[in-house]
Amino acid sequence: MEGETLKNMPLDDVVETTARELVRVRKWGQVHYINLPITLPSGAFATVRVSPIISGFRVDDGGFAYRELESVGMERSFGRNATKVAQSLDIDHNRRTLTVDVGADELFRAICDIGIASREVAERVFSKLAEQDEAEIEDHLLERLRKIFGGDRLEASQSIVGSSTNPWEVSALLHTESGLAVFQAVGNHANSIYRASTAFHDLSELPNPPIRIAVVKDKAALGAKLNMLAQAGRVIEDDQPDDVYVRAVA
Amino acid sequence: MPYPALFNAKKALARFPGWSEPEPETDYIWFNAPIEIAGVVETSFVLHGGCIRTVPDRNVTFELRCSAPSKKRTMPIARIEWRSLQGGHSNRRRKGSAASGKRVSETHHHSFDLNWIESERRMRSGNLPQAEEIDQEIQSFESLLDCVGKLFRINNMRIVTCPPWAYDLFNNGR
Repeated sequence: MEGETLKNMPLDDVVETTARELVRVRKWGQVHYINLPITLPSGAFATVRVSPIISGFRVDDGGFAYRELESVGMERSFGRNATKVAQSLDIDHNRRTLTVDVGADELFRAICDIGIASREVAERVFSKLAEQDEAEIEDHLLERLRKIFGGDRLEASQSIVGSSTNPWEVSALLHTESGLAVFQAVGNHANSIYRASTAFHDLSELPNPPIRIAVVKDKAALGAKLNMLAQAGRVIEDDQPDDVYVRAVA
Repeated sequence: MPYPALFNAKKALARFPGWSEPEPETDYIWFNAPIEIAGVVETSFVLHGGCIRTVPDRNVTFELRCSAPSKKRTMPIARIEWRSLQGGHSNRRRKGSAASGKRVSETHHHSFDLNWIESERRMRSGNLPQAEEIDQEIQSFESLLDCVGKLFRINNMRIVTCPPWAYDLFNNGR
């Protein structure tokens, strides 16, 4: 229903018309596609497919959650996440769809469960994407640090306590002649930047603060958030030459 | 090449690889066509096309996808959906955005401009979460190709063949 049309309706009609639009059904051959008022990360509606089988109905998500993951190259994550979600909702899954077979008396709840599961699987993977940039930088970072500084003085994925007494998980600690250097891989996502910035500020308040170095993929891509990171630490890019790393800990 | 440069460049499909075999669970068929800009085939920049073999003339997706060679993750930068079976699209509510909270119809465009945050030089989180209506009526697959060519700046979309849809005269959709 067009927004302009709704604006000209009485209030009750707006609500009732909108409510009727929340669920849509389309039949294609023997298969019904039902759009539910549950949104996937793309803004599309979770959609279930209902097909007749001998014992009743097969309800599945038509692979629409899988398609969302495939769009961002994460389709291999479907199976692992589908297993966890399917267990909690007592449904099944195969390589690309979430599915359950039911009789007519269970159809209502099965449609709800598959719709919820479809969103849950997609959301679980997309929420991890924000951390993936950070993980990719970290993988590369540890190799670089070992090559440049050697492994003896390096501690990977360590915890360090800040002035607040809060422990911070950091990508690596490097013991230098003058003290300690903290390396933290930072992705472009706001959460990654805020977490690193908060940790760096807390560490900077220690009596003998370590040198704090944020390692990012692309400084320019951070925009104004680069300033935020630089307030409490040094910032380098992961593919800069070795001497930049050496200068960063000096 | 930065995403805005990739999107704004005049492009051509380097080749059309043909439609895939249908996935057994979903009947989805697809292709990834490499894209060239000024005669150079760009690294890991493709046009993805997809639809359901048993649902003709409906639920067709075209998407521009980028990826770094060493990464498994891809980044969609624009998408067009034609007669989506997912009932259209709903934009997130955002203060100050004209597209906020809007529901758009089954044929819509997840445009690059709506999903690019210039101040942060990145795509919006999610999977191209903002979409808008397409101004023109699209009545056929050929018309869709022309529309995709125009909106994605691809000059040879007509090398994409019509999907091998399975028509069922007795069980047509309604």
